[in-house]
Amino acid sequence: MIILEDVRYIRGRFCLEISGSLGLGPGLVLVVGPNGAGKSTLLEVLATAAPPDDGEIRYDGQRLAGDLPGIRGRIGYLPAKLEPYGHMTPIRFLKYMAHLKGVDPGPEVERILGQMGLGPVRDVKIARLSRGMHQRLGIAQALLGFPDILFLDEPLIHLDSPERREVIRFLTRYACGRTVVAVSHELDEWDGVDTILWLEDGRPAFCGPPAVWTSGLSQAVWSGVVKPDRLARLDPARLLRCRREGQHVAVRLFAPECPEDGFRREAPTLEEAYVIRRWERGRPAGHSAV
Amino acid sequence: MRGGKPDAGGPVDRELADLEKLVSPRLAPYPVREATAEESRRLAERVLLRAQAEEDAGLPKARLIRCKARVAPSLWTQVRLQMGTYGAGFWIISLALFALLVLASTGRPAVPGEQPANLFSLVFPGYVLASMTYGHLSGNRGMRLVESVTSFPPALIWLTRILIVAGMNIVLGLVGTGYLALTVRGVQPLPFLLQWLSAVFAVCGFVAWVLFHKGFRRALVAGLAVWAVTVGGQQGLLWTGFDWNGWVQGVWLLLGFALGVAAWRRGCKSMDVRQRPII
Repeated sequence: MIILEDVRYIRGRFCLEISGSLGLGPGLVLVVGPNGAGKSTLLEVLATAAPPDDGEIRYDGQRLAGDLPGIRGRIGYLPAKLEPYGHMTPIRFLKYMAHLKGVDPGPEVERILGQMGLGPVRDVKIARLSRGMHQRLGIAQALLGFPDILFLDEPLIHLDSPERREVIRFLTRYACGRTVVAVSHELDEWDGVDTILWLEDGRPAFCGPPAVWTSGLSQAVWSGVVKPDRLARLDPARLLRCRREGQHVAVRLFAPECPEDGFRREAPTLEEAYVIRRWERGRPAGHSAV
Repeated sequence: MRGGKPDAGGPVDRELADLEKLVSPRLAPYPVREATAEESRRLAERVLLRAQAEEDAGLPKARLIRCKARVAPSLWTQVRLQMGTYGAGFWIISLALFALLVLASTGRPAVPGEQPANLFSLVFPGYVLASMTYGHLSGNRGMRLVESVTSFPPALIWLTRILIVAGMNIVLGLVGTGYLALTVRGVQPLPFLLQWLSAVFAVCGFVAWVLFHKGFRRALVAGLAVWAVTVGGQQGLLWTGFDWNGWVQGVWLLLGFALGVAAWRRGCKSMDVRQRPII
């Protein structure tokens, strides 16, 4: 388990501040929040790439000051916008990273290449690979040495839908007995989330299990089918989803009470709970009601 | 719990009602309703996933991996690895620049009794600084981050890169000095060699030391300052006619070498938590 105590990290005008004690893991921790909330900065701090200005972080009791090399040896890290060396091939890049991490660059590299579906392109120059392949390679380098703490900044970006499912399934399995902290904007795609950490303005606004995340909301989620002309009468700020179904529109929205006859109360998804929680704080919902 | 008969509307009921009022805001976030079909489906999915994970032999157990000792790369391995991070373009441009530099030096016939202008001592230290800046600006921040988060001091990566560029300059410089000594009249190989070698060592040594202690930007500023001082000093001493040039260059060379070794040794030994990674 990772415990952050009174951690403060200030860069320019931005301040990441964890007041009191915050425990993350074991299991899959999903970090959510709007752009600029400090998600990537938190991961940099947790991954020991940016030392905090104040406070202390403990990794299963290990302190940074006491055993930084030992802690780094247990960490796998995928930062945002990682661009591996374009002139290298995936196999060469992973061997390079394995050497840097002090991991055996032999069979383990081959195994991770296979697990990330990079076997067929192992000898192709990275510059010629797609963005999705780059992302898979980024995840693969984080997995070298099979670290028991994994920090992934937007691991699903650039991946297509089946690839996302595959990566999520893999990470959910990987999180058993380990700690995987992933920043993601696609809340509903994750299945086996154990903890959700919501950051707003550099501060945790929520940290707890999904069951608590989706309950205790001041608003309920309702679904129903309306005619297109009636859609205009619904508050667009409360719309969660609209989908045309023949002559009608299937709608999901949030409201304290049933908005109209024929609407049915639904359990909120992780993403819907996020939209409602942001709305409760008076922030723009930031969701796409298409 | 209190015993006795129930007292509808009595003090116990009131007490219970008060208690409920007191704790209800705190309990509000917790689910108190029956689970929906969707929630049951999700729970079943998670249980299945976890069960599958338990059976999955494909992933090594974390505890076993934690016991594995990480082996630090040797200096030679580190040099070989870091050389691989430079693309072919870097090596081609370096060779082309070197060829131009040699041509420019041979194209200046020396006046009898005078040393030809030493372009090597002017260009080589500048090339070290330029390649370092290029590596920093063109490199990906994400790559620098992942290269920093390893069990071994990340500053060693940058020191190795300086070593590679300096080493390449020295090898090419030695070849160039030999060529000039054979083809250009008036070139005295040893003073010529000492002149540019001292500038390269001084710049690299200062840059390595400041990089490790103060970070990239200050290292670059220090490198530029030392470059200006060494080149300016050499020209100044030549102009004033002092015969100490060789001694001064020797001091610069030794000082640069000592600083480089000190930076390397410190890099190998320590891994300070407060040291900001070179990103």
